[in-house]
Amino acid sequence: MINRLIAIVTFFIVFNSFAQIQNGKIEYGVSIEMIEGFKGGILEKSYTETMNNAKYLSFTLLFDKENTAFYSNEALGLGNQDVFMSKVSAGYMNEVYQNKDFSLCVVNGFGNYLLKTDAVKDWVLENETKEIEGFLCYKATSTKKVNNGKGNFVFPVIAWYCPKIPVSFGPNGYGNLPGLILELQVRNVVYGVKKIDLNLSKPPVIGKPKDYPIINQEELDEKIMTVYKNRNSTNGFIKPENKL
Amino acid sequence: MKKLLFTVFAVVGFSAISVANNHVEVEKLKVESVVLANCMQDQAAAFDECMSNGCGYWESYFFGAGAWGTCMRG
Repeated sequence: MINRLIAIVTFFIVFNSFAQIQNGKIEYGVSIEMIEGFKGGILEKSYTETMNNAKYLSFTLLFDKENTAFYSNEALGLGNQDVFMSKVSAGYMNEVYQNKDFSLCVVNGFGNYLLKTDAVKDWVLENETKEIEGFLCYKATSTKKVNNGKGNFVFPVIAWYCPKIPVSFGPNGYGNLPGLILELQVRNVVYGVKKIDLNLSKPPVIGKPKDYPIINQEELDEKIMTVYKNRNSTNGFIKPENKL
Repeated sequence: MKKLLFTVFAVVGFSAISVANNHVEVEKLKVESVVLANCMQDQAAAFDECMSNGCGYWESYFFGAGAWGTCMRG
C-alpha cells in the first residue's frame, strides 16, 4: 500500500515538473521551395539564390507563460545582405512580439511602425501526428489569404504543435494552438525546430517592442505602394527610411 | 611656312580630339539613360511577376528592388 502511494506521488511530482514549463528558448531553421510560377521567369534566378541562402538562416523564439519574442540570429558564413531576400521570402520582416491574442512585428523600412496581426482563429485540428525532436506533435491546418490587387490568393498553412509544451506560440507570430508550434509551413516556406531548451536556469529576457505607431497589414501595404510609385529613373530603389 | 603648317595641323588635331571626346561623352550619356530606363522596367517586371504569383507587397517590393539593383550593376 505504502509502495503504491509512493509510486503515485512520485508519478505526479515527475508529471508536474514536466508539465509545468515556465519558459524556453527554441531555435528554428527555415527552408524555402521554388514557387512554380517563377520557373522560367525573370525571378527564377534570384529566387533560387534566395532558396539556397535560406539554409544559413536561424531564428530564436524566447517564451514564458504569457509572452514571446521571435527574432533572426546572425547568419553564419554569409553577410546580412546575402540573406536579406531569404528573410523576406520566409515572411520575416523583423522581430516579432506575441501574446495570446495578437503579434506585433517591428517594421523599420517605410518608416518605423509596429505591424499588428491578430492570432489565427480558424485552425482545424487534425488527428495526424508525428514526432519532432522527441516530442509528439499534432497537425493543425489553416490558410493564408493574400489580396494584392493582382488577385485573391489562398495558400495552405500547416502547423505541427506539441501539447506537451503548453504555450500557444510559434515562429513568426503564428500560434493560438494548444501547444508550441515546432514546425510551420506557410505556402512554400517551412520553419523547422533545430534546438529546444525548456525551463532555462535564467528566465529569458523577452523585452518589449519599441513605442512605434501600430498599423495593420493594409496600412503597411499602402505605405509600400506609395514608396514604390514614387520611385524614379535615377533612383529606382529609394531607401524607405529616406523617403518617409 | 613650316611654323604656319605646324600651327594649322595642331589646331585641326586638337579640334578633332575635342569633338571626338564630346561625341564619346554624348554616347556615354545616351547609354546611361537607356540603362536607367531599362532598370525601372526590370524593377516593374519583377514586382509584377511576384505579385502575379501571390507575393505580398513587402516581398514584391524587395524583389523589384533586387532586379533594379542587378540591372544597375550591369
